[in-house]
Amino acid sequence: MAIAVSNGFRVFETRLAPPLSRDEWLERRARFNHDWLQVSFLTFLQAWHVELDVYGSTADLPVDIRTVLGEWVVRRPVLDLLIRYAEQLLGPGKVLDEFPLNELPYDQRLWLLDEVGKLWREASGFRLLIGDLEATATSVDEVIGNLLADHPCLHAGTRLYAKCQTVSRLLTALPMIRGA
Amino acid sequence: MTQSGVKHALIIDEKPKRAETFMTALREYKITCDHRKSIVAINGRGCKKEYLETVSLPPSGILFIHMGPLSGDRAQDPDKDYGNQCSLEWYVENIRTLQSWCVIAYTAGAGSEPEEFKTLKRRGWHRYFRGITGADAFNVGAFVSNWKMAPEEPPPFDLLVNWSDFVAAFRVLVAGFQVANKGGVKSPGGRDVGAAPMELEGAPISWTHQMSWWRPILGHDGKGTQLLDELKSIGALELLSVAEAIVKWLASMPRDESSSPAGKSLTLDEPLVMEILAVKLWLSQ
Repeated sequence: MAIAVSNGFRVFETRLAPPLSRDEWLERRARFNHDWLQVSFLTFLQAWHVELDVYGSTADLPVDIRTVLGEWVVRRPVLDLLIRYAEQLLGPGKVLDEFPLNELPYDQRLWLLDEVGKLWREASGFRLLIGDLEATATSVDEVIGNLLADHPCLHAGTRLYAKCQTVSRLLTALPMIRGA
Repeated sequence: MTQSGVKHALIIDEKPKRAETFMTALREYKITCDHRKSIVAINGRGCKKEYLETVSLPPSGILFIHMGPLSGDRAQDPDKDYGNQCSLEWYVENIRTLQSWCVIAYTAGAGSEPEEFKTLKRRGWHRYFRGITGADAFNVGAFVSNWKMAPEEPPPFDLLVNWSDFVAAFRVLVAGFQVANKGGVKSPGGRDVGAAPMELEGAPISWTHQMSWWRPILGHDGKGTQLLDELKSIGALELLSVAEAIVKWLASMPRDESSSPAGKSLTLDEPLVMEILAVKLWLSQ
């Protein structure tokens, strides 16, 4: 939940509203994770990871492979967006923003946001999942960055395939608070 | 569909975990389930013969079928069979029988329904859903429990994907109540924990504070009708019992502080407190 923090006081009124709704977040995840990462990019990596291991060790990447890998860089801002607003749109803060809980007194909402947010992050596994997702996405950045820069990168294809599979799995597994 | 028709379900999905979750929910309503994989694995071959050709369809039932559009790189190789392709072909081949079935087709992606599905589907009885990444995207319990009440009517598809804000709100309040009453909660960020629904050390609680905590669940009609109805519809009996008791307690309270009778207890009685504390929330999901 993005809350403006100033002198120890956190206030709903000045918080930064997410630039997308929960439905839009879910649609962007579907387009990124299923329609591109799983259907296209992982399929490519599954077929080419052995060759990528070789290209990584020789630092000699063909142009067509370079183009496909570059798609990760182009689409990375979408993943950033999904990670940045995941808690705000999937967690208790979403419920506290809407009827009927938006009718709660201000101090109770703040208290709930802190305490129930903490409970939900731990109990639902969100905290671990989002941490792993960020770390894994960063490691994909590193491998692809090395390949595109023609820096030697051992087992690049195998690592990339495994890490992208993990990104996909973690994106799918992010919990969402719902009514039932 | 007749009442007996809501007794059978077929799940065609290559993901066992998702299928198992659907089946667990369906079996709670005494629906027998058959699960078939649509593919062996991504890029697998010969899957259709292996998994789908032995399916025997009763005259009516509920079909959950993973069926995305035939797009993307995986669909570019004509020599391979894919799950989407297998599912779609099977749907087309069995469309005559499926006219008396409820068909829930879904994809994890954001693509539109396949043309064949769009053309052949029975309107009101076959629906295509996008963005179904996991089993928890469908509220199977609410869907089945409601449809069983009127199986001759078209299935209440909207209940499959529309989740109750009231139930979610109630869960958050119950979670907050549990946190505040488990002890050990310190004042976060220097703020007074008086915002919690019950003081930790048994200190006096204001009328306003106590009432404002639970009152939102009463909703627009002030009677908690929406929350109670939705808890009934999804079969959340443990939460329903607690909600009914809290609504009853709220109804017994004065409507404003000035009319609060002297000496009237502003706290929930102990059995109800214990019941609220025992509710399992996200840990059990």
